[in-house]
Formats: sequence, C-alpha cells, structure tokens
Amino acid sequence: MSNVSDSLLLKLIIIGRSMAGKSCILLRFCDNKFESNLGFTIGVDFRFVSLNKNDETIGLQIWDTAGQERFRTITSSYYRDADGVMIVYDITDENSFDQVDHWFDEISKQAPPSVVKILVGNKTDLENKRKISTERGLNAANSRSCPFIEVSAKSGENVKKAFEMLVDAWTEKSKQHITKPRKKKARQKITNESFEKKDKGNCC
Amino acid sequence: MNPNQDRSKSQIIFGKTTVEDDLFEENVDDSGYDENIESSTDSEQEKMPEFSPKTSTLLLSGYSPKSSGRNIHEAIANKTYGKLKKTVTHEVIENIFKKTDIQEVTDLPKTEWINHAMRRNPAVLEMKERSRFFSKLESFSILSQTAKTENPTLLSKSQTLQMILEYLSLLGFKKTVLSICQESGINYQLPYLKNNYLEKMLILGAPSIEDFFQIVSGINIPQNEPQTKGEDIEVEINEFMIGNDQKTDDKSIWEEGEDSDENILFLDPNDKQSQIRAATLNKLVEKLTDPEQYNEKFLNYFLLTYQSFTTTHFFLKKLIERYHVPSHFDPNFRRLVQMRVIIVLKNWIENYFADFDQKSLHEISLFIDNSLARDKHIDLAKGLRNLVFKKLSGNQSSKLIRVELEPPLIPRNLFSPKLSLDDIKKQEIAKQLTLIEFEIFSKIESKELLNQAWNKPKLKYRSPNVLKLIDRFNELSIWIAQTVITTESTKERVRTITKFIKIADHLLRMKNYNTMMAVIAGLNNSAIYRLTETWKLVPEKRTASFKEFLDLMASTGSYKKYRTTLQSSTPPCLPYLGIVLTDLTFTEDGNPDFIQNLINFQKRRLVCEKILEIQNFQLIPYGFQPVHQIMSLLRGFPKLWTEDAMYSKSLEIQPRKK
Repeated sequence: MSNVSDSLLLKLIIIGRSMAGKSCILLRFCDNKFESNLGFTIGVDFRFVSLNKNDETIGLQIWDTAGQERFRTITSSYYRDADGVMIVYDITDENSFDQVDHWFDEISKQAPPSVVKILVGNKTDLENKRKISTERGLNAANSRSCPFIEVSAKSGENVKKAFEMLVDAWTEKSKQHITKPRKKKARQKITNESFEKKDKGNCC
Repeated sequence: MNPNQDRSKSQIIFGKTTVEDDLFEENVDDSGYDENIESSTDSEQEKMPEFSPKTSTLLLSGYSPKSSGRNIHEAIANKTYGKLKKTVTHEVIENIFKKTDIQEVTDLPKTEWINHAMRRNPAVLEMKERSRFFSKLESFSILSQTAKTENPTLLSKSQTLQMILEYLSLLGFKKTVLSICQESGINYQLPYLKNNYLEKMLILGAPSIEDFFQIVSGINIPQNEPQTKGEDIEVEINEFMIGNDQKTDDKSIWEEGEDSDENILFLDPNDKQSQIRAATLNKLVEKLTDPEQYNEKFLNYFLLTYQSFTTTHFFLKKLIERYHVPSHFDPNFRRLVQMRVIIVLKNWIENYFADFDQKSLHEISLFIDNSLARDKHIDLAKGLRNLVFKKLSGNQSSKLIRVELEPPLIPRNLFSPKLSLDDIKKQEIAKQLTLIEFEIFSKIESKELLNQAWNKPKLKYRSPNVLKLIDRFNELSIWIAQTVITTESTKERVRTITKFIKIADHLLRMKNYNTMMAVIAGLNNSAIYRLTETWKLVPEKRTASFKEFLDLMASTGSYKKYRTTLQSSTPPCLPYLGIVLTDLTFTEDGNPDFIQNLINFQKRRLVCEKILEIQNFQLIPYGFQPVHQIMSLLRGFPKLWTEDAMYSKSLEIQPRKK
C-alpha cells in the first residue's frame, strides 16, 4: 500500500438483496479469508483496499450493507457521499434480479448525480442452477446505461475486474464532466470488454 | 358467517381470559355459536367446572371452540370433552395437581376463579399465550379457503385430534388417550417416528414459511422483498440446519476411534490439549463428555451454536449413545462418562430449554425412565425430571438482574387524553424509548443470530426478535422523519428537529446506541436532510451534536469510533444491532462450515464470541420506571407515510433549486 493520502480515494457501496453474496464478493476482493477476528479488531479495516491503475494508486473505501439489508432507513444515508455503487444480484435467484430495478430507483433518488454504477451478476459457479441469462442481465444494465459483468465470488472469477470496471467508469465519467458526455460509446466499450473477459474463461 | 367478523371476535375473546370458560361446558351448542361468545362472561358464572383449570388449559389451550375453526371443534367438543373431563379429572386431580386446593377454588365466582387459577399457575397463562397462534393459524386457513366443500388448507379434525392425543400421551394419560380413540374412532399413531403433528399441521396450515412466520410473529415482510412460495420447507430447513455432511454422523460414537486427522483437528496441530479447530460430531460429543477434563467454556460454545451444524434430535441421540458405554469398558470409566453426559444434559435443559420440542422431551423422559433408572442413578433421574418439570411449568426466575428503578419525570397532564410528546421531558422520552427497545433486545435468543437466519426467507421464523427490533428501528426512523415533515411552520420544524437531537443526546448518554442510530436515521432521511433552509435555523450547538453523532456512527475504519466507544461502555447498554449483524454475516461468509468434511468449530467459536457480547448486554436492564401513558405514544405509530410522500412534502416546503 503506497502513499494513499496523496492519491485518489473513492467511496464505493455494494448493494443487493440479502444472500446475493455481497459480503463474499467483498471478502474475495479484499483477499481476506476472515478466519480470525481481525475484521472486528479496532483499527483494522479490511474494507479499505488500494488498487493500482496506470501507475496510479486509487484507494477504495468499500461499504456494504451485508447483514443490515432490513435497516431500510439506514442504507439511504450511505448513498449520499458515494462515488460508485455496485448492484449485486444472484444469477440463480429470480427474486434478487427483480429487485435490481428497485435499487436503481433508490440510487437515482438518494445518490448524487455524479455517482457511477455497475450491475453485477454473482454465482457463475452455479451455472447449472442459473435462472437469469447473461443477456437479461446485460439488457437491464444497458437500459440504465451502466456496465455489466458476471462474477463468481466463490471461484474469484471476474471479482477484481468488476471493481476495476467501476473505477474505470468513474474515471471516464469524471473526464466527461469536463468535455461533453458521450455515454453511448463508453457503454459499448465496457460491455464488449465484459464479454471478452468471459470468453477467456476462468481467470484471476 | 362473515369470516372477518368471526376473526375479529376470536381476537377479542382471546384478549380476555374468558376463552377457556367454554371448555368446561358439557355440551357445546352447535347453533349457539355467537350467543355463547356474548354470554360466556356473565350468565355462566354460577356453573362450577369439575376439573382443574390448570389441566384443562394445558390440554386444550388453543382449541377453544369459540376462537377457531368451528367444524373441528364441534367434533372435538361433542365427542371428546365429556370423556376427557371424566378421565382427565380423575387422573389429574388425583395424581398430579394435588397441591391445588380445590375447595378454595370452588368458593370463588367463575371469572375470579379463572384469574385465580392463572395467578397461581403462571404456566397456564404462559401456555395460553404461547398457543395463541393456533387461532391465528386457523383464521388464516379459513381466510384462504376458496370453497366451503373443498379446502385442503384447513386442518382436518383427525389431525387436530391427533395432536391433542400426542400431547396427552406425552403427559402419560394412557387411559384418556384410549378412551378418546374409542369415542372418536380415530387411531392414534405414535408421532415420534418422523414428525410430530404440530410440525405437520404447521406445514399444512401455512403453505409457505413466510406466511407462517407472519402469522406467528405478526411481523410483515416488506413489499419490496418478494416472498418465496411453494418450496419444500422441510428440505430447506434440513439443508440449512444439518449442512451437507452427514456421512460421518451415521457412525456410532463408539466406533469413531482414536483422535486422528480424519476426525479431529486442533488449533495447534502439535498440541492435543489446544482448542479444537474442527471435528466430527462424534468427536465433539466425545470431547464434551470427556471424563478426564471438563471444559465449561467449550460446553457453552457448543450449546450456543450446535444448531448451526446439527439438530436438537441428533445431538440428543448422540448424547444418549455416548451414555451407553459398551460393556467391555472399565466400570469406573463407564460411570464417569455417564456422569458427564448427565451434566451436559442438565446444562442444556437448564440454559436452553427452548431448544426442546415435544418429541425430544419425550425422548428425554424415556431416557430418564429407562436408562437412568436401570443404572440406579435414582437421584440424578429425580433431579433431571424435576428440572424438566420446573422448566415446563415456567416457574423459573427471570434471568434478568433486578435493579432499583429511578422515578420517572411525569408531566402534570399524564392522565389527560390530550397528552402529547410536547408535554413530556425529552429525557423521559429517551427513557421510555429505551425501555421499549430493550425489552425486544433482551428477548433475542442465540439461535436467532445463527446461520444468518434473519436474512434467509426460510429461516426467518427463527429470528422473531431480531426482526422485531429492526422493524421497530425502521418505524421509529420514519415516524421521526414524518413528525418533522408534517410540522406547520418553519419555526415548529426547527423546534422539532432540535427536540429530536436533544433526545438523541440523552440516548447517547444512556448508551442506547441502537435507538440513537434510529433517531439519526430519521433526521438523516433524504426528505429532512435536504431542507437546508430549516437546518440553517437549528441552533449551532445542536447541529454540532448532530454532526458528532454522525461521526460516532460513521462506517469509516470499520466503525472504528463506535467500536471504541462500545468497548468502554458498561451495561446497561443497547448496542446498535446492525453492526452486530454485519459482523456475524462476515464471520459466517468468511469461514467455511466444514474443514475437510469436519465441523469447523473455530468458526462457531467466533460466532459465539459475537453472541456472548450481545448476551453480556442483555443481562443488565435499564433502571427506568415504565410509564404506560408515555410508552403508548411511542409505539404503534399511526399510519406511517411512504418515503415518496415525505419527499414530495419536502419539495413543497423547499422546492428544488434550479
């Protein structure tokens, strides 16, 4: 971890239905097996990760709602100063996908307009139990103009990639703030990328 | 008959203590259904029942013919009550409840007599309370009835009767069971082969576990959380509770063999005295009852968490298996192991009695009668039996430590119907809020926190109090936001916000972080938060405290500030439940349930430490005097607004800047 204080710090939140695997994605990304009480020890924050991107260190402060989903009145306030939101659903659970719209609405109401989003379908390791096709996921993301990726928190496939894509989307958007936004092109680029990654099969 | 009317009536009746009155009538009149309800309180006072109120309620609570499905009860009432009364009266009064002074009771008028019986036998009252959901369950069945002729969801007469029989046989009323069978022509099947009838009825009565959960707990599942229906709940529950590895458990505990990497792993691989990292269930039970060392902490951890890897029945089976030491072992060893088994069993019953259902109690009772008696452990058998009876009758003293109560700050118009929160001191509001929430908090049981039950549609019924506390939290926040948003003028709005900040300040001083968080969440609601014009007018001192609260509860550094504060907080204290649940979620998701097919006990230890942290705070209640009039203003909030409605109101107060 290099000198983070000088570099960029992004606040990200992970949302989605309970049991969609939000905590698993975070645990996998942080490379922390959580086999000790480390996470609860005061002063240790496993939710803080630094990511290297083009020789630049970006600090990610990740907040997730795992375990607290039912505290509806709490979650809304956390959107307020978020830079990026990861919306997670479980590809084997129709209900979790049905809620995606609900989350998008929440974000548009609560989060600042500058926020970037990514839609993530989790549990690709359970391909035989899949209920939501990749296409449906992609369509949902396209209709909201946000990138999309499918991951497996269990195998680790695409987990890091998902966070990188979110950071990319943020960089892109912050650039576009200065120039005129060209959303369509940006989206195209990212979705192509996610397919490319998938074709390569298991990585990470 | 209008089903709604029927339902509301049954609820009213249940609210009083008159339900059981009907049970003492020899004949329940088919046509006089409605009249009976009205007349039961006054006109029947002279008629004296013949048998002990305790027995009747124990046996039949939840089966009041007035309170639930009519056709079922007609049959039972007409066919069996008469018979029941004779046999039961004889057996029970003679044998079990000798202590009840019948003469003293019969001198009282009927309503007083019921009250008297309830007072003398808190168990009856508790049983009545506990069985209340039957009436709801049946109402539910009736409501879901599509046609009168065909109704697969309605519980059949024979099922209901089977359940009564099951209970009677558990109590040992063989003659009664026999005569009911003869009367009704129904064959009583032994229940403990697979499921007990209660389970079966619940499955029949509630087509999905979510429905069942709602019926039992009265908690509503939010609309944005779609219900999962029509799945096989038994399979799901087994999947969650037993996990995926049962192969090793099929082996008898006496065939498990010596410690090896195959069946036990230690935290320090070279030190067999170190803590267990993972093991088979057989090994865990063996270590639990090890004659050479008694580890109370290990026992507590096990009893707190075993339900995350096995069931009550299976653990009980293993324990009894362990008791039956094969004859080739040294008699001294044999005796020591048996003593250990009994100690574990005693601890289990003493501290986790809620774990046991009728089936397991029946097994324990058989174990005491057969095995313990045969091995001449007469005193131990007696001790265990008394313990079970004490627990069954609910006469245990409360676990809560009693404290001196501070006198409340009562407003002058406490008894005025116009009493409003403006009349009450903020500190007193904070106190009463704390009492309401602590009451729910103190009821949270360890099993509610296992396996992320509160988050799983299929296991939610196991976490009623966790869910109640969360629902309460949300309601309170919304109510606070609504109270602010519905003010008439800016001045009043400023005053209201200031008031809630002061209340939050009192809550912080009371170390009630949960309620404080709810107040913050209310003021932090986007409809309130965006009212910058209003916030500008709030005294600076107050906005500064509000910022301090936000800072204390911020998620930065994994809630570093809050955790530090909590660590130095002495009870009474009410921690913020959300963080506990997040920590549990990460502990559960971050550690596998099994290591090389062995139960990961280290994971359970971590979960346990979290749960013990909670239990530590549950023990010491707040020393505030409850004030009913104030409390009733602070709960059961009138219809709460939706987020959208509040937001539109907020836009009216302060339009968006262009």
